[in-house]
Amino acid sequence: MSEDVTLEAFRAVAAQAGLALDEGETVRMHEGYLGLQTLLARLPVAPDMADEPSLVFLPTGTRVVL
Amino acid sequence: MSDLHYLSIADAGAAIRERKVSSAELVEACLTRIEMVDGDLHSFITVTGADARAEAVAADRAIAEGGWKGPLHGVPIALKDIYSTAGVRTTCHSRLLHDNVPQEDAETVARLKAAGAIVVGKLATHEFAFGGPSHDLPWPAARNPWNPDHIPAGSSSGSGAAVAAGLCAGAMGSDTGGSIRGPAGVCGIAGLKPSYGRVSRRGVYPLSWTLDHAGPMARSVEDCALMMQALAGYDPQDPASVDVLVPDYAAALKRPAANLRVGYVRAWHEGPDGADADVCAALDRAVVLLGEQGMEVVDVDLPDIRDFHACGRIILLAEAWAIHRATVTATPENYGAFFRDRIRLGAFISAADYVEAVRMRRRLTEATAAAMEAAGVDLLLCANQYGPAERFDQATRTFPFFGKPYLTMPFNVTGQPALTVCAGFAESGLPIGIQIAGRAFTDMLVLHAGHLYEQARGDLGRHPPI
Repeated sequence: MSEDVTLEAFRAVAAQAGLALDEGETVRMHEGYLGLQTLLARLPVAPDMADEPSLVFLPTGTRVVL
Repeated sequence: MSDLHYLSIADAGAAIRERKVSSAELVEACLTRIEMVDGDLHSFITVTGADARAEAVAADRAIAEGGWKGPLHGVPIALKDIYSTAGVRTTCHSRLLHDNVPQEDAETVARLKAAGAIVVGKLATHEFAFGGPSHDLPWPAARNPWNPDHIPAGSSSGSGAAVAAGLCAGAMGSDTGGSIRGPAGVCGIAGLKPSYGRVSRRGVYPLSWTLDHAGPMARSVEDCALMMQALAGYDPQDPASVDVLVPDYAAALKRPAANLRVGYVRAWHEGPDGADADVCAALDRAVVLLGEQGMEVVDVDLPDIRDFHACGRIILLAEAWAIHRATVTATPENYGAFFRDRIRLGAFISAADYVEAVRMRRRLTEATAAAMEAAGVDLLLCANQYGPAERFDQATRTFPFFGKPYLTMPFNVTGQPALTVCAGFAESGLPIGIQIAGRAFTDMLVLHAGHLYEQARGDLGRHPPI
């Protein structure tokens, strides 16, 4: 579980994400990473297939009129 | 006329039109006030005194010649320093843009200028509207005029502080998760996050494209309405702009409240980990005052505040990382530590997480609309903050958004208009705000209800002891 990611394991996660962190940043970002997991845990696990994102693509020049 | 710097936009506009006071006098009063108190408040990054004085003289001349443009003509305002201003540096309170001078005004700035407003300067913000309050940036963090040991919240920190302290009559803020409404609430002023698509974002430095809103902050709801009259309207160059008729906001404020039903969202702030007693009392008092204005207030249940918070924060972090990734990676030393750490959280959000969050956003938006429909309510009343502004020495968390869920985030997620209005003061003397929200594109109704509440509560003339 990502909630259990240790500081040592986090170093690899950060490197994989392309972040170059010094030691102080690593400790802070580890705390942030764990906090982020609590937010991600609230995302729907198995949303309906027809559940569309709120983003809607509009071809250039489209004018939304209400 | 005493205390010119505290004249409302409505009163200042009328006095200028009637030639009881000149724009030059008003602008000078604000510039003098800035000179006197902003050394302690740090709300301004750039003061455009010479330009403002020249524009005020031109405004007075135009009005004398019969060219009155409206209630903003000759009125001094200021801009959060993420709004592009032609020929005037726009720093985003960041070392990275220390010498950035745009060639064009943001659309909102152009509209305010066209309405005759005089820009007296650019205001402090959290770095790129995200990292703050920081003490490792080229300019200090703005302070709360009600007590400079306390923060003015953010990210429109300078806007909240400057308006409350009488350094300008109104200001522009921006709101991605509550950055207009947070500072408005803890600085004792009014601030509107308009409906998404109502006010152009073009030329305002983005934090999160789908959550960013540009909006007014002023010392009264009426003044916010007057600013909205200039700000609202379709902008074909803002992809999110919607072509909706712009109503007469100020005229709407004068109507009686007819058959309005207000849903009171208790669950978001009540409970053992909820708002403090002062906030709860202010909300209970608001229920009474809105009722006395002829509105019917009923309890309403909306989705869990933690779901709004998570959904909005994930979208914000992902979009902000997309905006800043290249420069943060290449030159991290150009940023303050708060911004640098916070923005890099976006590196841990996968594409699938982001898409799930925007799917969740549609669900939350539809659920909120359905709940309002089921309860038969036109408006929502809810808390704006858990308590008064915290002290600077308490505002040291790198990731404050992993604490209590932001009470303002729901309406960034749904795009509904949300107004913060001062609801009184805590025992400490620090202000408390409440939120009134409406269905999408009912900004006028929100302002109307806020104005009625504000008039019923009174106390509009109370100013910070600075």
